[in-house]
Amino acid sequence: MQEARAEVLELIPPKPRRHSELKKRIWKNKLLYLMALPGILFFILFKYVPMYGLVISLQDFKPYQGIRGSEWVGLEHFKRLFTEPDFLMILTNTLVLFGMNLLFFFPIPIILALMLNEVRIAVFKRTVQTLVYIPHFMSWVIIVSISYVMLTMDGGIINELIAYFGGEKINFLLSSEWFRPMYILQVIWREAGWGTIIYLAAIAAIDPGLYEAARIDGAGRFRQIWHITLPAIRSVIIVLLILKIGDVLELGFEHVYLLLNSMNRGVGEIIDTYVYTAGLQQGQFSYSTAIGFFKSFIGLILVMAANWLAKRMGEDGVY
Amino acid sequence: MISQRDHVSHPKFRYVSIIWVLLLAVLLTACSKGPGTPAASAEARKPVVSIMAPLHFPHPPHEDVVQEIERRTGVELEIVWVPNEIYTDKMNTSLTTNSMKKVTFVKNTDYVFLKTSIRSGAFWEIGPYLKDYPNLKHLNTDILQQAAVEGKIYGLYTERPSSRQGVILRKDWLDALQMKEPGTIEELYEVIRRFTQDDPDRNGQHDTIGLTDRNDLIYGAFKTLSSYFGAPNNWGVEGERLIPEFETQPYFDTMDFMKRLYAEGLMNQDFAVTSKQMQRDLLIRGKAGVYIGSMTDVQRLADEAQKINPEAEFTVVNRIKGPTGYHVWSIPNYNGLYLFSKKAIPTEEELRRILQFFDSTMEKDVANMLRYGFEGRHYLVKDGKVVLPEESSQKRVTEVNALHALMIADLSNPNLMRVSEGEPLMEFAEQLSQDNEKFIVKDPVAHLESATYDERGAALYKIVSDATYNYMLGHIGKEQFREEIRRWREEGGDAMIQEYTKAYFGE
Repeated sequence: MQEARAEVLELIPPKPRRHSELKKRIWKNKLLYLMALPGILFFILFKYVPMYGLVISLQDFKPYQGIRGSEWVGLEHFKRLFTEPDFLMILTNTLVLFGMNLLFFFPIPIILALMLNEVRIAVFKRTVQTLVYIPHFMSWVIIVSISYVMLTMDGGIINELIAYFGGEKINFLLSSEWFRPMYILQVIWREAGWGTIIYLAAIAAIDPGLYEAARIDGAGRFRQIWHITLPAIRSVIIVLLILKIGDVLELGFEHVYLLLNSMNRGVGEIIDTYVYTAGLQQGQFSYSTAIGFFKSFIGLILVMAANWLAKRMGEDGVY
Repeated sequence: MISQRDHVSHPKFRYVSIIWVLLLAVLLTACSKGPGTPAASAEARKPVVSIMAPLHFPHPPHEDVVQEIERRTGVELEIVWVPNEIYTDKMNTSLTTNSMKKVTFVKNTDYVFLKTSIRSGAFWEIGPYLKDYPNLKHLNTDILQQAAVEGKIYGLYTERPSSRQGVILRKDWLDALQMKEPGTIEELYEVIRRFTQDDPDRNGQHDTIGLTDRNDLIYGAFKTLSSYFGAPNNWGVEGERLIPEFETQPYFDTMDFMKRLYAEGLMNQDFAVTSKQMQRDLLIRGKAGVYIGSMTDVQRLADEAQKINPEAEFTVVNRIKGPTGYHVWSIPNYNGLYLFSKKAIPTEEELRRILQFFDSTMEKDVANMLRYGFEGRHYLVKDGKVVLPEESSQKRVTEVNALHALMIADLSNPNLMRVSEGEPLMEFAEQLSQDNEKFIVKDPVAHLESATYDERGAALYKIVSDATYNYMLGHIGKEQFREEIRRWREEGGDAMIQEYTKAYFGE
């Protein structure tokens, strides 16, 4: 008993008081550090080093002259971004799409995972699971093209159906009102199935004994979901939510860009597409970088806020 | 799967696989050296010309042709063929990573974005050298000037006619309705209306539309129609000032014309989001009967349509009379330019060698080979003219045609043999393109520069194109359109007008 406690104590690292002690500790756990090394290198090489490129947002960058040769202009590009007449519109669009994503898309994989979990026939469950993964592997180009063919006014199946039942044809593709619903439905169609994977894994890890005990106590299926499954995967949900918020502004450039047209630009232009059309296409690398920088900054604030909130609610958070 | 892995990890099999890999490696190195070795000693000093060029066909050209060209021009070619669809991105990447080939093709549409790099000295100014070469010195100075930056010449141009714009129509539909080809805007409208309403395919159903258009105000129907109405090409000159086309009356007339076609259901209702593929598809499937755009598209459209309906017949019209006579907009006479990187070409001597290569591509033997391939294999000669047999057409497409991208100044090159009999519609379309030359409307600012345009041209153009579409679809009225134009002026349009006016009258 005594020995066991000593062992446990040894596992808890004492606070290093001097340098040599730290070294000793590193040496002692050298294999662990070695294992972490590739990951650390990866982050340094591919995440931290490229951040050096951010300095071009403070320059008037010319590719031929490189970072060293280009002229420094200070916050010029940021000023331009904030005084851009479309700036508010773009920011609002980005945040609205993000909010819709969180509100309408985020819960769906959870619900789907719960439903799949309740399916009794294993074969059916597995088939459904596989089928709902498939859309994830289709590119946005294909999905947007399919929607185009279905929604077009010139013989698209949906409008034909509406007309058949005596309704007035709706020009989905050219209206600004339909842009957001179309966007969110496509996201759900493509990603909902794929999103269930982590939840299903978390659900599989729940001790079946809990359900058994609940059944003996007379809990029905909904009670079981409410009192066992959901609380058990709660921390997973929170972590995914925080990560999702970190991706706030990753609304999928490709997807939105494909959906954009002259008629829905007022609600559809987001930061990513703006970076592309106003910055990259025009060869304005510094300005694009400044916008990208600003976007990451918003992302950072939101993640920190979400994490703080999670901790306040007694959850673990991501860091 | 698992059993296979077991095999491989079995010691004996492992050796076998190692031996295989080694063998393969030896073979590969042998292969890459093989054909070159005997000649290597003699040709070691052959200068290397590396080129990045767009590939407009599914296949790069055949090795035989390329090797023959290398032999005749005395250089070693290293051509990077990049599919045309992604060419702009690739070129931008190589520019930003400073890893340009010695010679890089730049499309006319991307040229403006390179001007800052050109000014900062990334490319050789070749103007002063051209006079030393027998063919290059005959290059068209007008076109060279169109592509000059601050009056200096940096690139060799690939040539194209000023305007291929016109109207492609279903001939058999016209006949069925006993109509003649339209010659005025009113007649064009009438054709489009009757193609929609009078069942031109005689199937008893109301299932056709007149015009098929796409989401492109420039290469779609809009700009060509606006020429017919008499609009200037991008910028008009009024007194002492340049004015943008969308502040002119003809531009409004064109918008109203399109608005009417749209509202009356005479054109595809989704044209604002229709891709070129979809647009062509409507014509090919016999759903629509009028296509306004590049006239030379007619041959391929007709070929494809006849696969579905052998009865389908097409014709082309280029003269549509508007209120002020015949007009058609034109583009600069170059498709793109070959630019010469200073980093990849360190010495003047090497630059001269590369210019020498381009000079010899205009010689009779090389130019004809780039255009037609090998005599016998790809074409025949009859009475000093080239005959392109139907049998070898596929071969030309897969083995030769990609090389057209390398031809500089080919339209006016006298060394190039003429074709005796081509495809009839194509030839007709080419003739009409020639006819267009008589009444082209030039863009007065094509070779002028505006710093504001370089910086925000694309974003500004979006304001105008969005407003134009919204007007045509009836989402906004005249007053709101003018409001948008005011916004355009405030956000940089005014600066552009001033800069262009100064550049235009300052000359």
